[in-house]
Amino acid sequence: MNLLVLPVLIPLIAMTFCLFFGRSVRVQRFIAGAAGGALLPISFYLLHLAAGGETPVLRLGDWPGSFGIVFVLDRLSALMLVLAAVTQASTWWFACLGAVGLREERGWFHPLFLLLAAAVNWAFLTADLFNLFVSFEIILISSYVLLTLNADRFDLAETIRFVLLNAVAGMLFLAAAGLAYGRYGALNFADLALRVRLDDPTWISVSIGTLLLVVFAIKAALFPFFFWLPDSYPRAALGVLPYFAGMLTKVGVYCLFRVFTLVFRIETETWFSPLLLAIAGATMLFGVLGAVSRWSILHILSFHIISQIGYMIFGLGLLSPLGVASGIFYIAHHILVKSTLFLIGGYILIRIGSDELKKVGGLTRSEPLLSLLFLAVAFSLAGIPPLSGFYGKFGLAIDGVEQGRWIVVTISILTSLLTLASMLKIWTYVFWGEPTDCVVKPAGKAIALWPIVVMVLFSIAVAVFSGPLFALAESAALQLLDGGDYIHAVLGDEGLERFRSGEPIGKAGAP
Amino acid sequence: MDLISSCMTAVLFAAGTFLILRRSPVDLVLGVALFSTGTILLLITIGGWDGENRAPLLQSGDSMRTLEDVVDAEEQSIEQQARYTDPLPQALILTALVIGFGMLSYLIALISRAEDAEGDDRSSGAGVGDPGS
Repeated sequence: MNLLVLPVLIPLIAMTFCLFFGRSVRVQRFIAGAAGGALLPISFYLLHLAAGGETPVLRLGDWPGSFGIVFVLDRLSALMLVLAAVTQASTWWFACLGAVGLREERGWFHPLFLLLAAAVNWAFLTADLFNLFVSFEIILISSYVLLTLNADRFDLAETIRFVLLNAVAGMLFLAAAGLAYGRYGALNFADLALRVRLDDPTWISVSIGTLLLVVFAIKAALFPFFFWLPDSYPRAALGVLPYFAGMLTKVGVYCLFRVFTLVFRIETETWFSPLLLAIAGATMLFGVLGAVSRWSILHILSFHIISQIGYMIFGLGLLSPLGVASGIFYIAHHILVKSTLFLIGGYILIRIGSDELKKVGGLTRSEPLLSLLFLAVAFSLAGIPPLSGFYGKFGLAIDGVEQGRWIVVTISILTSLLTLASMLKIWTYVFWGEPTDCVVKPAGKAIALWPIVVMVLFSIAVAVFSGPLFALAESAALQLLDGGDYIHAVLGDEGLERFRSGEPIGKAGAP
Repeated sequence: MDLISSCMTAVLFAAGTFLILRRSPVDLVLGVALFSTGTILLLITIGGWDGENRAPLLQSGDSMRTLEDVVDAEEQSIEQQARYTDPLPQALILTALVIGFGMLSYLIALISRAEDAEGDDRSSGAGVGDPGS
């Protein structure tokens, strides 16, 4: 299935072409837009295939499953590809409307963004730990540069923290991959899944799993490791910030969903599930408390990324079809809504020249359409019933109560209320009241609202079609929890047979 | 030998972590360097080096083996392969070295820029500042 390589290959090729046209921003914009536009139909087609029950697989060089590089597309990765393509397109549109300064855009903005998009898609498609490591490093390298594009305006201390923590996470990831290979003689997820569950003292597989959990927790900004995010994101180039906010941490979340359902299944049931629930609770609570305490739009939104990731991990920790399905639905909702909110935050910062709550006020008078759009996504983020955020949270709460996880359910409801409170804080300060000086005479330039309108329509569509979408999330969750489709795609009938019967494949452990 | 290199890995990780937690930028860089050295040493240890294993290269007298033979050999005899060190961790190391070096040089560039900007009043703002326009 050669189509699978396109989500990675198209942005990479487009990036290379962009490098030839360093002088002309227009040509670079056109190339980047063409690549983003091509990714949309491809990823929707791939989702259509995966939703229809296929699990396409691409073996590079036609090596057998456990030896070569393999790309696999199951429902979860197809869904992530679609969300990545939508976010990439709207962020590109926003950047072209003037969200990026010309100086930054000349400083290789478009090639870096394309490289980032290629690496994110790669992480969703790859089926082994080492390729995942490489894609993580590419994501990080491009995001380091994108974070520092307008660096002479801000101090670099926060960026250094971001680089440092992620560099350490990368090395830990490599160590974990090496340890997994040393113990099991495999790096491929499917192959590892067959071997890990036969490992007999479990503490070895649990410790390798814990190391991976730490790595992905750093990427996903989970509870003890979230401090790098809220102060570095508001410094990123505004033209790429919505993509950052929507996709980067979600790559970590995706990896957690993949690894802790497929590879460390038994360990997750016995050991990681309570741990993930505890981390989820702490992440939700601390994230939202940080958001409530901040006084600028982008900082509040950055803290909300953290608290929302708690909900997704809550779903994973429940490890039941309904819980994981709600988690997946929540990921889809969150990516659309969060990147829209960052588009709105970026718009206000560009138009008004400030995003401080105490400086900006009375936007309902000067920007009525923007106010309406903000209200729709802000209520959706908080989980008000008819909007898209409600369904995921509702599913999580029902399943949490059924499993008797009262503490986490209570925290999640409390977090929803605090989310609503902090969204209302933005609403009352920024949109209500008398227009302040900087609103009456905007310092920034005018910029069109179209990408925001389209993204809001997308998130309303998620709410309207929540039935079929939740069914899709449910089938993705069942596929994840079962694991058979994935193993069959990579290792064929024989592997699936061994997976079902629990026999070893080859010998475990190479050296 | 495994024991010595494992202990050495632990020492390198510990020293790297300690240095990263300090405030001085030079210590930061050294800490990252030690940390990545520790990772690489760990991978070398995983690859298996007891002084007797051969490099995974074909030498005179070896016959070319196809992939099917390798698969068969994996299931049949362990002695056949034990003479070689595992090549895959070395491939991992190669990639890790390249990425680690790039990362380290970027970090050094970033730190030196941050040091240059110190004292500049624009760099001390705590908030978000003006948009990227």
